[in-house]
Amino acid sequence: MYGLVNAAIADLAREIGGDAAWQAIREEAGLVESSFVGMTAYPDELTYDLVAAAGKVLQMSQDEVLRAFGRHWVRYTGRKGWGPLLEAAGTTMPEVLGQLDALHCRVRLMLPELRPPSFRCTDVTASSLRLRYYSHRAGLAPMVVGLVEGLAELLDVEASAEAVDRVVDADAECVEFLVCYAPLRARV
Amino acid sequence: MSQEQDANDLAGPARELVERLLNQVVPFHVLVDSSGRIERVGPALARACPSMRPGDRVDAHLQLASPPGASWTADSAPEGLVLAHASGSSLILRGQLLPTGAGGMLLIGSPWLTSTSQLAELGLSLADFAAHDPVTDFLLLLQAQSNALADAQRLADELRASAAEQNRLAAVERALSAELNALPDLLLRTDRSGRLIEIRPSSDSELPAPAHELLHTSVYLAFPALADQLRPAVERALSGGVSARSPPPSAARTGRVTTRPASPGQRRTRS
Repeated sequence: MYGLVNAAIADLAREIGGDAAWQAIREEAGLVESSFVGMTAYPDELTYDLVAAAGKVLQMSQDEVLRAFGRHWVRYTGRKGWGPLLEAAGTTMPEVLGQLDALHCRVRLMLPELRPPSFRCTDVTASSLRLRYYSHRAGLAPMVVGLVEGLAELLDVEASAEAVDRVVDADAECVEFLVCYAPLRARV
Repeated sequence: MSQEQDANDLAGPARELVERLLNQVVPFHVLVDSSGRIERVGPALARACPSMRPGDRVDAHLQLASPPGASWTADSAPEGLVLAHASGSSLILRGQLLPTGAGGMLLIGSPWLTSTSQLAELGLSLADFAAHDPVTDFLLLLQAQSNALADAQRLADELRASAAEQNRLAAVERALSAELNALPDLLLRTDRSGRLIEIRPSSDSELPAPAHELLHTSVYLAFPALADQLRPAVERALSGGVSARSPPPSAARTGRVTTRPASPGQRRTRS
């Protein structure tokens, strides 16, 4: 995965447990790098090791780490300059989720080693949709729940995601989520 | 039904098709008639410039800023790239003017954007751009370049800090080395396992074997008579930075053995 992902994990760890927690995670994962370069590709194993180490050090389950990471990813990339693009993707949950594949497609033009997940929306209603998540990486689906929560924060709506179906084959993991969202909250 | 009537019947659907395709392919467009009045505005341009309406004079909303002398008249319309600035907005359209016949013109283009923040300023979303329009890719590239530069700056800062720390440690090492060289004692440096990594005798007669043969061997094997005293002294120095003194090795005629931690990552046994 690209360094931006690993840097976001480091940022999340520091946010939860301070620099001491991040250093403990580095040690637990046997990480040599002291920092990550956002547009450099790193082995996937490194990211998996970091997630496992974060769970151990922060005393969270893997699913909890991934969910927290998904939520943090939206905030972190926003801070790293990608916020306006994400905001321009739409003003509602279906609009933004529906643009993710196109955004990933464009990002792949710059990052040829990128192998992003795919997100497809079906059964879109005023308050819910079904989101099909495809990834060639196994075990990362809980991140989608956090991702939806992070996008809800960005869009200022109430939203939740729940896995309702899961298919795993040799090449990909496909998880279907039921995403529910409420109208925009009144801004004070 | 005459051929002329057939043509008229097809005019409506054909026109709708052209307009629909135009909206999808070039959502930022404006069609101007021979009198310089707007006939239609593309949906994305209408969102960016909501005051622009059919019937308005086009030059009240869009000024042709480049090339110099360009105007909204068919006979002086530039053939190449044009830049059109929107009135009362930061929008700049980059595109081309096409004559439509009978003095009319069609401006097709895309907003010239150099920052992702301009999208919100202009009230635009990614859905306003045709899928093939490279403007969004251009914005992504600019943002990626900006992030890469920030990464490069951070790495340069880390490298500078690391070099400064290395220089500081080297200075400490040099000072320590000068101090130790001035001592008349036998100097032994070991790693944590007791392996000899440096030997500085005041004379070869202090050693049980030539220094180069003792290097990388165990200090306890090289100086077996002192092993019982050296081991706890080395352990104390490594764990707590406590100095200790030991009698000189049997081969040494003079001096004493002391242990103390050296610079980080290095430990010394001094005799």
